Amino acid sequence: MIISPERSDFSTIFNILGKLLLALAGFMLLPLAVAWGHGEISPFWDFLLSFFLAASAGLALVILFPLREEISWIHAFFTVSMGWLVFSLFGAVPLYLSGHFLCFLDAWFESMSGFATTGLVLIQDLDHLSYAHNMWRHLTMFIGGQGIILASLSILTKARPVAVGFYMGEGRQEKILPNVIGTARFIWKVSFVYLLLGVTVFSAILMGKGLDPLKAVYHGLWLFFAAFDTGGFAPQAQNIAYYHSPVLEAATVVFMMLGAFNFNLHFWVWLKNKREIYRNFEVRIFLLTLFSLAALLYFSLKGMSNLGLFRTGFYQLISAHTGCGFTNVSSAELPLFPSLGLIAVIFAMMIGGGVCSTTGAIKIMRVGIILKSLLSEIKRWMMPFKSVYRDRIHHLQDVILSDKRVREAYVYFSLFLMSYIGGAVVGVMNGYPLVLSLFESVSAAANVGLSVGITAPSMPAVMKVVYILQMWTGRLEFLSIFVAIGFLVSYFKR
Amino acid sequence: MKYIVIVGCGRTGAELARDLSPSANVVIIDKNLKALDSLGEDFNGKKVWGDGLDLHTLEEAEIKQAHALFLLTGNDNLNLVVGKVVKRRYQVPRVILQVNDVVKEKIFREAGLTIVNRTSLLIDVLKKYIT
Amino acid sequence: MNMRGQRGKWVILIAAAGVLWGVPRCEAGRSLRNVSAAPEEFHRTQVTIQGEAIGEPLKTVEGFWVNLSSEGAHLSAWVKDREAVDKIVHWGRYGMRGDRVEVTGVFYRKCPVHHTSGIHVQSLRVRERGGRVFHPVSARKKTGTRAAAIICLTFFLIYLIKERNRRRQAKDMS
Repeated sequence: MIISPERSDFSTIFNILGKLLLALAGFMLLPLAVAWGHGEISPFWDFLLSFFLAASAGLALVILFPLREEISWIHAFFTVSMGWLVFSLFGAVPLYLSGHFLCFLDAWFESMSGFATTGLVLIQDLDHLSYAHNMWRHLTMFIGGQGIILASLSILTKARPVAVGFYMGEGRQEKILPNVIGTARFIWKVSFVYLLLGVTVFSAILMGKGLDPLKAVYHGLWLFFAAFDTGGFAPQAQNIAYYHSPVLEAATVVFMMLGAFNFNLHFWVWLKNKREIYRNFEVRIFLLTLFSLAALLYFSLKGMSNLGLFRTGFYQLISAHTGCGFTNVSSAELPLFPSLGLIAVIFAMMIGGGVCSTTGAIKIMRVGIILKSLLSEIKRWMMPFKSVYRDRIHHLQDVILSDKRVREAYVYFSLFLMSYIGGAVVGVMNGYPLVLSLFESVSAAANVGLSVGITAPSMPAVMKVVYILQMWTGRLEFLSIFVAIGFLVSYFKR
Repeated sequence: MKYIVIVGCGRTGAELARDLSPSANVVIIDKNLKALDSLGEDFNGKKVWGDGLDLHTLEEAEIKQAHALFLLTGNDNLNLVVGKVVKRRYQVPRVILQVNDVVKEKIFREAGLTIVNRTSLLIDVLKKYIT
Repeated sequence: MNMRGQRGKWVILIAAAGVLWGVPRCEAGRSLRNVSAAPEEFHRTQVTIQGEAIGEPLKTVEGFWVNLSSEGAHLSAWVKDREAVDKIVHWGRYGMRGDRVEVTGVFYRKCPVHHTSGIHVQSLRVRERGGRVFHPVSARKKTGTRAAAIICLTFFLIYLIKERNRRRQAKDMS
């Protein structure tokens, strides 16, 4: 029997969306202040207008739709899925007003790319973009990255945690602290500490490179947002290649990995047992996949010296695996990689980072579970009939791998695979070569952001829309969106 | 935020857990999975499936960080044993036990352990109605 | 026509063909966009390109990186001496168009020194000075903002009134 939402449910949902819009308007005050501080008059008006627009819409929703009932999981699902859509639309307004986009669709693409911490860009003339607008672009990644974790937690308290991939089975859950608010506070604390660390490190490196202090701090902050929230935007058109700094690249790798790991792992290592890093299932699988793919990459790039290999190929690989999307080569050079190398990067993108992190894609835990279940299936056939065999993994504690857990891993694997292939097919239908289409599709669906050049303002509008949908569904892991749509359908059927 | 461990997910334990969970870190332990499930999937706390007598279970429930421990299994002896062990070993500030037998309550009232008896409480409340 | 005349004609024809074939390649070589789009083709060749200087010079071992942009494409130029870099006065950013710089040098897809793509510059000169760019705010934007501000404040007042009523009702009931 399917639960159907009532009209009062929608009132609650719109009310929460209204409040979220007010929060978004609040966030816009930061770039507004930046514009004012730097005398960037045109951007100032852009953000002023956008602020009033978002605030008006938010107030209208809150006024028209009073909070009727206690927030339940139906509300949480709807709010989270629609929230991303609404944020991306209102967040696109200041971008569009900047004049750096051919049309609103492009601005919406960029905005969704930010909130979904993807990193694919359609912006024109990025090198001449104002500080205010750049602040906004990178702020969207921060909101999106931190937001998805908080959203998952909020759904976690309301809904069956299975839906968010946080459930560990047999009465255990992936929450860091028992109380969700406590968990959220912890995540904020950790992120803040990393932020201070990241901005300091990046700014210092950039000042050493020749940027003047204020610009170095801005870029440091923005690069931190993009690295830790595994987004991949950069304030210059050439992305990380602009800086020509191996030291910076190494620093970004550190923060990309920090952002790509499970927040639970951070909690455990900080407050409990540091040795968990060595024993943790996700860390082990990550190292396994990373080094296998690096080996694959190595063989495909054999003609280069070691340093060359690291800076380009390996950097791309880590950037892909952590779902960040920073690149130190131009998008004209990337397709020139040997096919096997591109495939290694595609696999890395498909797998992604840890659960309960800012990364996208299938995620390491699930990939690991699938690999393990394949192995145990073979073992099961080799053992006496009717013997019970239970798999164990060590993730913070020793956990038994239940059938429920394995099934859930396969479900997500299939959903992502369908998105990857679907996007690739659309690319091929529009005339792009197969491997490149697959690359770009995976990059969008897994919220990575590396590009082989397909993503461009001249791309057909159909593909822009498809990528926007892929970024959105990938970020929210499909289920909340499908359930929300399902509820809508059942509501209108009545 | 206070850290609270509850052993025993019966009617009282479950209700207490639900009541405390919005504003505290609540961990509830019970041997019976069904009892834990009765709290619902959206319980804003942690559920631990295990035996309160087992130190591993208690440690999994992070007893070391607890500000308070409630022992609400139906079994007086169990409550008392665990209460004393926890007090001595983990120095949890407040350990509160529910005890059914009034005779035992008088015998085992020790410093540091707070003993609560349902019948006595009820009698106190009832008496107030006739004053 | 005698033999010499015939040969002469052929020489001219071949020379013309050579020029016609060569000139587009030279022109192609000169375009930053073409070089960046086909790194394999221009690897280890001498090129002369023009582009706007972006951002700032980035210090590196033995020299500076100058990032150039033209028609949406980008290339990096490695300049060894400070004086050449100092010729560039304006660097592209918001509100500023950078100097249009012409560099001549060898382009590498993957140079042995830095292992990145770029031009190892032999000579640099500034073709055209950049300067401030003004971004005027259209009247439409200003009126739109004012209208939105008024709407927003109105809604806010309505919200405040509603909240006050709600609280009064709640008080009356208790």
